[in-house]
Order: sequence, then C-alpha cells, then structure tokens
Amino acid sequence: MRKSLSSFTVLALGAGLLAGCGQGDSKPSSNASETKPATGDKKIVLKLLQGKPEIADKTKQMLADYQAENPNVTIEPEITVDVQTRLKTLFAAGEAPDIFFVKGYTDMGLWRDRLVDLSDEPWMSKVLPTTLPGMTFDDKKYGFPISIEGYGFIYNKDLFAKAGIDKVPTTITELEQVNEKLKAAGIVSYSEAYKEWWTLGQHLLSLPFAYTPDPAGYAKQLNDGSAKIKDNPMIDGFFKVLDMTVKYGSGVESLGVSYDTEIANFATGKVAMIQQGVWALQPILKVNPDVNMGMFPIPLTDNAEDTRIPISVPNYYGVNKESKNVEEAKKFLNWIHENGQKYLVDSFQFVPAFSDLQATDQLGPLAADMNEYVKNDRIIPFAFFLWPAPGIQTQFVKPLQAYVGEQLNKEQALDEIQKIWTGAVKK
Amino acid sequence: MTPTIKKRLVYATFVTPAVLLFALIIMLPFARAIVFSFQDWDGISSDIKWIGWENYTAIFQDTAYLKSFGFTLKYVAVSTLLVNLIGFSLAIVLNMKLKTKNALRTVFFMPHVIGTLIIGFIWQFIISQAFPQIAEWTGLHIFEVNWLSYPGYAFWALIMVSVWYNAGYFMVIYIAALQGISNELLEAAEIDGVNRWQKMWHIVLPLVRNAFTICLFLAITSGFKVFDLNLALTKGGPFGSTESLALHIYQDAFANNNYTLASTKAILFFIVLGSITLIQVFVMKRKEVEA
Amino acid sequence: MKERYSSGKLVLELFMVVLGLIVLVPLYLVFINAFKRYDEILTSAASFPQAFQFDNFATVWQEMRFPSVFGNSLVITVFSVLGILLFSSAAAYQLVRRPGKVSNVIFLAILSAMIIPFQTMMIPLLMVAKDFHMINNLPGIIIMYWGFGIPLALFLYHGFIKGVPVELEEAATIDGSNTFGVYFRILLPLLKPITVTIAILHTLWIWNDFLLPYVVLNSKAVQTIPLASYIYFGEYMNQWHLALAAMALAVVPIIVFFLFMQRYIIQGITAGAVKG
Repeated sequence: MRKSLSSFTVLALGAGLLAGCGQGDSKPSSNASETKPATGDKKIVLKLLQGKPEIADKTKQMLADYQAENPNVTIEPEITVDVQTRLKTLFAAGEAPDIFFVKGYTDMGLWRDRLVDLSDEPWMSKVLPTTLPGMTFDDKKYGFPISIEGYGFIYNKDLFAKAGIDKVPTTITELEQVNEKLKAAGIVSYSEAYKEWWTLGQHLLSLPFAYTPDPAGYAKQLNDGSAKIKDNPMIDGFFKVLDMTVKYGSGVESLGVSYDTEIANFATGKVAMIQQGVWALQPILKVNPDVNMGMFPIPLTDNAEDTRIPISVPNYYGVNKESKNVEEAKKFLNWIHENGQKYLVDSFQFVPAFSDLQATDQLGPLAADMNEYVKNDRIIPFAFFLWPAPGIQTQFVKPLQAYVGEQLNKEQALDEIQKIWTGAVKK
Repeated sequence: MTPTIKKRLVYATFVTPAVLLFALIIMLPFARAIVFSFQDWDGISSDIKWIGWENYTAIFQDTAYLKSFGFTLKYVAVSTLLVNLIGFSLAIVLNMKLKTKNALRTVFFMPHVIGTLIIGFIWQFIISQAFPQIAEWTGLHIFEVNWLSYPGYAFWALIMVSVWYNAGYFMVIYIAALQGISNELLEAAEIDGVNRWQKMWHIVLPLVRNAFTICLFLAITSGFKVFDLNLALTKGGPFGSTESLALHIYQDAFANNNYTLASTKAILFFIVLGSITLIQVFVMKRKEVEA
Repeated sequence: MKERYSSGKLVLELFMVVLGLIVLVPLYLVFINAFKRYDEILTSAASFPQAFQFDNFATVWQEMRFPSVFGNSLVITVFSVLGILLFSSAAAYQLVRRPGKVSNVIFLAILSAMIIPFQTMMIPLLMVAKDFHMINNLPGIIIMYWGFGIPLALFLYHGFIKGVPVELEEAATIDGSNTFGVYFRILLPLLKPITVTIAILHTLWIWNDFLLPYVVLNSKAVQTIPLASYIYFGEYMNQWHLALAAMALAVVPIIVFFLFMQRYIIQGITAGAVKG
C-alpha cells in the first residue's frame, strides 16, 4: 500500500516538475498557477523549515487553515531552534525544504544562489522600504519579510512604580539611577539569559555597531581592516550597560540563566527588567497573563537624542530554487500576505512588514512602545546581520561570557572579538 | 567446482554482507571526509575548492579547537577514572551476599537505559529548577549556586551526570568478572591469613584485568565522543569552557560554515583517539600476559 | 554454605540502599513534575504535586503523535538489531575459523571504525545515503544502523567464537552438515549468551540514538521517539510541564522493557562481557 502510494506521489511530483519548468521559461510566472485550476487534483507536499518556536502552535493552525482551503496541498512544517544546521543537513541529504527561513544581509547573500527571485510577486510592492536592503542583491529580491522586530529593555511597570520611577531612562546615567532606585526598593533589576549566545553575543553586542552613523559602511571598514572594534566610540557604553546587567542582576550566575528561566523570572515579578524584544511577549504572557509591562531602547551614551530602538526583519521566507513546487510555494506566500492581517498580525502578533497591514492594539504593549520610536524615525538596524559570517555570534559570545565570568578583562575580550572577526573575513 | 573455490565461495557468502555494509556506510563516507579535509567549502555553495594542507596548518592556530581538545582530555581522564572506580566499588559490594543486591543492581543500572540526550535535558531541569528548592530545604551552599554558570561547576556537572549514567553499566561488567573468580581460591586465601586489602590487590585485581582493559577502552572511546549530553546539558558553556571535541566540530561545521575545516579537525581527532586506544589496549594486553 | 550476616554488612546494606534511592531521585523528579502545572514547577520543583495534571500527558501524547513515533522506533530497533546480529555473527564465524591475511585485514579494518567520531562523516554519509535513496525512509536508516552496528558486534562475536571449541563443528561436518548447517544448527545456539549481550547493547543504543535519525529522518511520518522529543523540546522550550511529560513518555517504554528483561540484561552482559 505504502509503496504504491509513494510511486504515485513520485509520478505526480514528476508531472509537477515538468509543468513547473515550462512555466518558469515563460517568465511572468507568478500568477500562472492561480489561473490553472488543473493543479487542484495533484497531491502536493510543501516542506517548510522555520525558527520561532514561540509561534509553533499558531503556525500549525495557519497551515491547517491553508490546507483546508487547498485540500491537494499538505505542508509539513519543521520548527526548530537551529535553522542553520538543519538547512545544511537537509540540503546535503537532498531533502531541502521548499520554503525556509533566511536572515537578511550576510545570510541572504550566502543562500541567494539557492533562492527563487521573488521580485515580481504581487506582495513585493507592499513591503516596507526598511525590509528591502537585507534581501536585495543585484536588484533581485529574494525574501518574504515575516515581520518587523525590535528589542530593548522590557520592564515591569508595577515594579518601576513601586521603586518610585516615573519615567523610563533615556541616557546611560538615568539607567544607572533607575537601577539604584530599584535596588533601594529591594528589587532585583535583571535576570539576563547570558547562557544563550543570542542575548549577549548577538542582541546586546549588536548595539555599538548599530549606533554608528553608517552601520553597513562600518562593517565594510572592519572587514578591510581600516577600523578596529576597540576604537568604536560606543564600546564603553556597551560595557557599562553589560556591567549593570550583571551587577544589578544575577552576577556571574547570569551565565547559567537560560531564556526560559529569564522569562519566568520576569513574568513572575522576580526581576524588573530583561533585555529582550517583542518576541518575548507571548512567552511572558503564557507564564503570567497579568504582567504590566513596556519596553524602552537601551541607551549607550549620555545624550538622550542618541537613543534609538533597533528594528529589523528577523527572518524572511525564501523559496528553494530547486523545489519541485516553486509555484505552489509562491502561491502559499501570496496567501499569507493576503491573509496577513488575520495570521501575521492578529494570530502571531507580529508587527507587520507590509504597508497594507495594520498594526493594532492587539499587538500588545511591547509593540506599541516600539512603534512610538518607529513613527518618530528613532530607529537603528540589527547590525549583527552585517557581521561577516552568519554563525559568528556563537563565537562572539564566548569572550563576552568570559568577561562576565571575570576570566577576561575588557581589553582581552575586545581582542578576542576582533580576532574572531578578522578570522571570519579571511575565510 | 573444486573444493577450494567452493570454500572461498562459502567464505565470501558469510563475510561479504558485513564487509559491504561497512564499506558503504563507514568507509565511503570516511574517505570522502578525508578528501574534504583538503578542500574548502562552506557547506552551502556549490563551489568546492582544493587547498592542499591549508586546513591542517590552520587548525593548530585555532585556539577554540585546542581548548576543546584540552577540555575533552580532562573530561576523559576524570570520567574514565571515576566511572571505573565507582563501578568497580559497586561491583565489589553487590557481589557480596546482601539481601537487596539484585534490586540494587537493577537500580544502579537503570540510568543507563535512558538516552543521553534525554538525560542531558533531565539534569538541566534538575540543576536549574530543583536545586534552588533543595538549597532552601537543606541550606547547603552547593545547591544554591547555579552549576551551569561557573566553568568548574559545569565541568563537574558533566562528570556527575556521566558517572550517574555509566557507573551501573561498568558495575555489571565488573560483577561478571568477579563472578569468574572461584570461591575456593578466595577461601583458601582467607585460611592462609591474608587480609582484605592483600586479597584484593594480589588475587582479585589480577583476575579481573581483562575486564579493566575492556572497561577502560569503552570509557575512553565514549568519553572522547561525548556529544548528546554536552549538547543538552551545557551547550559547551560557560564561555566554551565545556565544549567537547564532537560538539566543537559539529558547531564549526554547521553554525560557523567551516565545513571542510571541521572535517580536518575530525580527522585529527580520529588519529589522536586511535593512537590513545591502541596504546591503552596494547599496554594492558601485555600486562595481562605478564600477570 | 551460608555466609554470616554481620552488623557491618547491615550498615553496608543500608548505605547501599540510600545510595540506590539517591540514584533514583532524578527520575522521581521528572515524573512528579510531569504531573504539575507550569507555575507550580517554577515555584516548587522538588515538592510532591498538589494535584495530578494528566492533561500534560494527553497534550504531549497527541502533539508528539506518540503511537506513531513509538512504532517507528520499534520497527527501526528490531530490524536493525536482527540484521546486526545476523551479519556480524556470520562474518565473525568465518573470520575466526578461516584465519589468514584476508581475515585479519578485514577484522582490523572493521574494528578501527569503532573509534571514528560520527560527526566526521555526517555530511558525506548524507551524500552517499542520498545517492542510494536511503534518506527519509525506515529501510534506509535500518541499513545505516547495520553498518554502524557491525564493528562492535563483530568484535564481541569474534572474541566469543574464539573460545568456542571447534570440535563440535567438526563432528557435525563429518555427520554431513555443510557450513550453513553448522552455522545455523550448531554455532548459533552456542552463541546465545553473547547474542543476548549484543542485542541488548545495540537495542539501548539504537532506541535512544538521536543524531543519526536527526539527520536522515526528516518527515514526520518516520520520526523516532528521541527525535520527536528533541523537536518537541525545541518548540516548547519554556514550557517545562509539557517538556517533562514528553521526557517521561520517552523514558517509560525503555524502562518497562528493562524491568521486564532485567534478569536477562544483567545476566547477558555478565555472560558476554568477560569473554569479549
């Protein structure tokens, strides 16, 4: 039974492949499949690989709805924390997914040979301009931006009020004062998940790079050796903030705190702040739906004018060029966009990356605070997307952890980071 | 058909399946891995370049690799010693006529039936969630600290879990060896007025030497290859201080896009592990003969 | 002859019982927490549950599609182990009984594979497996386990058969049995103790193995228990109550198997180990 079924599938897939090729040659391919209802009878399996375990349930719900509308299509999702590793093994095994997560800039550059050019898709004209640089190479656009994300310090408004803090800090000195006030009120400020490479080695370390006037140009200078990380004027501010999160937090033991522990500590009111982004909303609410919270950008200087919030597209959906079902994959992406308000915004609670989708109050307090800065154009990019190798964060975090663990001093840590950067460029 | 040809045919029938499977599943990929070690590839693009010995010279400047080599050697040394010492001690005691010995053998072996990945997750949960409450109850400082935050503690956390997981397995092998020693021999020794330690040193230990050779070999090879436990418990942290070779190679290949460099590291790993185990077995086999 | 049960022995026995209980504590913690609500785990992970939540298990059972992954694990383990036993005992038989250069080279080459780190050949293995259509199907991974399981099994059989007197086989040959008859009727029954050992060691390994299924079994229909639980943890990393229920479910079948088989397991390893 199983055998006969699979050979049938193979036949069907083969037919699909032939059809796909024909369409691909005649260029204006994006709507071809919609005008041909004949595809309705073929069994099609689309494989989807993505990160964001936070929305695993809701993603599956969306796929179920899509399959209900398109009974001939089955979408097999794999939602994992290590998309990078999975992609490589799946490609090597010849089991590459049809649609998968790609990050902007460097990562997109590495994968683009394997991606379908999506420039002519109907939704491409609706993407926000800020999503374009990360996915555009040689005027071709390769990604479907799933959302805009931003991060900073998420804070517990009730605990801030209890400590007599009536205004979020906008400079590094004010941040110190806030921490002192919390301390005086007997409240622990932080529980930073420095066990995770991405909280420390990616998001926090990204700030001094993002705060430079031209992050992309700065990354180029670092690549050709005309700039050194230790000369970055923002580096001092970075270490001051890092020191505060350790001193007013769990100290050296921050190194053993994982993301879930951090979320639990914040949601249960054990700590007043965590360095996270809008993605943390759901996990926090799952632990405690009544947290009264907000988010503010992390200052690195004493000039309140400098302080901005980092925002970027965290992930794009890319379509595998060798997929047997490129048209079906495109159709699915188009469907997500058409139903974007329902799924991306209302269900996933993503801040939309499309101009025709509306951010609503439903997105919660973190997105609302973030949007205040976006409206006033007080934004910086996720500079880590510009770093020379997509996995380099996992290496950067080690010297920083060693600094937190009092094994390296500031200069030594910076030295190590510089070495890792230079080593990655040489490759 | 002549008898020799028939004999050869029979020989081939018996041996070929194993040899074929071995060639297909192990030799062929391993040979390809050796070829990779002379190439440059990021694991993504379709462009693979030949670069000669470059990878081999590069790994000796790779501090993270050398560091993980250091950690692995330390881990293997300590875990091999402890697992064998504790496994052997358990075997000695549970080879005595205790009322609960059968139940206890079962209990000590039990952790070994669980997969190491799940074990890593279990202990991560216990260390991060249950230890704080145990500290409240007992007031013991050792449960107050977060073990995964300090390199020293994280190292011992791995060792502790490895002992918990392996000691029962080694116990069973040692019990087997001990049961091979005849009671008459031991009783005769007792009559001769030999004390307990002399008995252990001069009679028991030489007779279980064979088991020691096996157990050391198993402990060394499994210690060197530790991966699942490392991945699920410490992820190599804090600051890479507990990154095993297998985990380092895995991450270099997949997170850092250094696929071919990682292959080179793995080849060197293989050479070192091969030499160590060869020496170990050789030395101990010779001692067995001497004894 | 009865050994005396001295007070010293009583102390030792009590000590060992306490030690045994300590060894069981981690498993106890997993099981009690698998029945708790999420917030209860966060506040009191070491306490006995206030009320038993069976919902956790119901959710995980369904989400992990437990019956299906259990079936896959079972099929993979059983067929892998059977193949390993057959191919390696057959090869070991001839390698021992027909010594010589060829046999030596084959034996040593296969043996050396025991120390190859799996990570070395992960990607190349996938490339080979892709060419032979061994990805994403149960027969494919079973064949791979045959390959990876043969070295240790061959090593153990080789050692054991060396200790089996050749006279029995010779007698059977004189009685008119051919090599196959000798192997199936005379040798295999004699190999039972070591066969049990090898079967157990390989069952534990294959049932619990994670990395190989992780790279070669990608579609849901063929996932195994460790793979499904790993993916499940990945998706529910901050929901300990579900993650723990998943761990408990993953652990229960193999512990039950062990408790039923423990007599054979401990005896089997005992019988096989010293000879090897």
